[in-house]
Amino acid sequence: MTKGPSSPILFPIEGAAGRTGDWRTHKPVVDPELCIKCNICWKFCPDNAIYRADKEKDQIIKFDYEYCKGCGICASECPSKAIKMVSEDE
Amino acid sequence: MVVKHNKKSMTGNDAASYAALFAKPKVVSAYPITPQTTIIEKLSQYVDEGKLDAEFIIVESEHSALAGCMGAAWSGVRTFTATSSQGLLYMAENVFWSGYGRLPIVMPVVNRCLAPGWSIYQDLQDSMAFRDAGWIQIYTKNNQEVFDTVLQAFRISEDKSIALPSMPCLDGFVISHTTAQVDLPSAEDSFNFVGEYSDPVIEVDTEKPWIFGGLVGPEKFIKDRTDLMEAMERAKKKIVDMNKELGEYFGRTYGNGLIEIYGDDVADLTIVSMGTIADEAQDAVDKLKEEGLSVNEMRVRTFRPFPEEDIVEFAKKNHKLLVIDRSVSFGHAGQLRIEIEAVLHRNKVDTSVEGRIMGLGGEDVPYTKIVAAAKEALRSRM
Amino acid sequence: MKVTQKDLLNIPKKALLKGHFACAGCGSTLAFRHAIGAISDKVILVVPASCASVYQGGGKGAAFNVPTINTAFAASDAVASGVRRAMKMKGLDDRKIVVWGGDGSGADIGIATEIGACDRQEDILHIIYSNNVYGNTGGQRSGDTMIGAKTATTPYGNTTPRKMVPFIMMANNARYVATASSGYLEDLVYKVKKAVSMTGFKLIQIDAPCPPNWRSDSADTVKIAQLAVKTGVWPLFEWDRETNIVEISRPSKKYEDMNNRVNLTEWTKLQGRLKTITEDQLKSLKDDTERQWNFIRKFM
Repeated sequence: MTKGPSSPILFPIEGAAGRTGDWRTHKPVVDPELCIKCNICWKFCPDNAIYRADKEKDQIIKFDYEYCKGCGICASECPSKAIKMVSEDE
Repeated sequence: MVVKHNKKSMTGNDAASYAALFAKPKVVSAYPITPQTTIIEKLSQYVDEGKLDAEFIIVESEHSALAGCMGAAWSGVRTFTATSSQGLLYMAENVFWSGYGRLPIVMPVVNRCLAPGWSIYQDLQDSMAFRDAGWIQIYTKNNQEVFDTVLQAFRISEDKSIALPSMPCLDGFVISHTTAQVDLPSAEDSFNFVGEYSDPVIEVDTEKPWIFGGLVGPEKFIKDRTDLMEAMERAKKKIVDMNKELGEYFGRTYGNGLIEIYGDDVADLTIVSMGTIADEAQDAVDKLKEEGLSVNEMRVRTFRPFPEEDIVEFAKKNHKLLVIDRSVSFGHAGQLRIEIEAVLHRNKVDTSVEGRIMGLGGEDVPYTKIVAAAKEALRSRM
Repeated sequence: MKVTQKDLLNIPKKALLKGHFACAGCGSTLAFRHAIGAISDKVILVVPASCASVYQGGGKGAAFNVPTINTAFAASDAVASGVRRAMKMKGLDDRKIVVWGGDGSGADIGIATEIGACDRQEDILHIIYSNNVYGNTGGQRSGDTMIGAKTATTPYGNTTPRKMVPFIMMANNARYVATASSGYLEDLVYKVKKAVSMTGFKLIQIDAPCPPNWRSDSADTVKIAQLAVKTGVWPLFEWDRETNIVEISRPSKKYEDMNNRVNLTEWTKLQGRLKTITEDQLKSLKDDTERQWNFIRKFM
């Protein structure tokens, strides 16, 4: 097979925009006592940056700080107020 | 292999649609515009009659006509459309997108002047405006060449090492609507010449999650454009090869595929032009020779890629060029003349060049006018 | 066919990878993640110039994990038509050809192409994520901008009603038309799955809040999207050509009745673009909202 033309083709990768966690000014922190493992935060994360909770394994949600941009949707949507946005400077 | 001859009378547009029919494109996406319309009308008829197994997309604009072909080309199938004049302009961003995107689309342009004022007649202003779009441009001189060039265009465009769209150009009405004899090979022989499009330049599918045409930095951008430039260079050889192969298959050639010389190898004056004016110029050469004047002709068949080496080689041994343009780059001169002057200068050839603009707005250019222009040029020769 | 949050967990593969270029709190990527994720095994995307041509990434790689063709602003539906027809010739009818673009292309520059594809009944799904502005170019007014909204080209608030693309497509023989919201993702996924199961031209328009251009808190994206439904300003519905019936979607049902609606100012006060809305503009926004509901009611 002959080589095709050099054209603007990209392939999928994680971190296409780099470590987008660096954009963050505030980071979400979850209170393990309050998390009810409902995964609503996971659902509403535009950055795919939440590892979902597993009720059966008694695992709460976890943030991927490498990519979380700190938008705060998770904190405002959490029905049990288990997520707080904490300044990165603190 | 020389195939059986089969002389038929047909218009230039019919010749183009026969060539497209025989090449068996899988998707035709088209929009009407005079004087191109009868090409795609015929194809829609072939599709409806079951003679052509293809999807015919009846789009709402030329912008979409080419976009439809682009979608098909990205999907790895052979695709065809045709347009003219304002239609070509309306497609503009997709013309560049498909050229720079390396999509092997074949799109005859039936040359017609640009408004205002309205005129449906021929000049080359439309396709000349797209010489920088990354398309192969071949200007034909008669109905036979239209058929042959459309067939060749699929081979050139779909060659993976080239991967550029092709624009076979034919003069409106003078070719498109004028009936002339065409030696029409059988559908089978024609398809054998073109071949299957089996190793696509590009092919999008769910198994290959690549992203085409997203954001790129200057480095990748320049790499792609450099490859485009090199592909144009490779296309020159391909066009020459296609010309030879056409000769082997059908017993016809057009010069060396890039340029075509008529008359003596060396003369006092060389008429240079494209399209049907170049055909008419042959009669002018004959007439002038009868009068004892030394005149020959060079027809530039392939305008993109520009055949620098061939033009320079021929110009070098001749004394003076009279370049007839059927289009103008306003604020400068006729495009063909500009480019010829550039290659002569670059190659330090001092053959003098005189330019004439003729045939704008469909003005008739009979050989007598060319004879008069040639005589004038001969008189002013130092 | 009901979609629950559990269904959102089970997708063929991730359509949107982490570390994309979208702004924090982007309503469009939130919708993309679920809508395209739900059909990610068979989808071929066509993306006109839009925020999506940027947030998909670039340079070293892309955040979209599905085959994607980027096109000129007004070319997407025709390119998608070409892809669909080519797939048909190749016997690959199960491929889902989806246009994913903003309201700049979907409501303005690309609308002729879009209606063209609809008119031909091309088997494609066009999803408009509507951020109500030309987002990529810095937030200028589009045909889909809300009355009263400040944009870069309407500094004192937009005065004319939205161009209702869903209604236009209903009038042009679309197979299926629906509105959706980044705030109601189960409803969105249900509509996307339903749309791709049908043959013909389908349109889904999603309300996708845009924090930088709406001058809203990135944390409020979902809240704003849900309030748009609760105030009635963004009715969620679906229309099927076969029945010619509009069905109000579950999240919107309660709010068809004006008396149940949340006060519009609850929604406007969260958005900088609407904070300065005048009395007159607020009234005409309310009138326009009612005009939309009245249109929908004709098909109920």
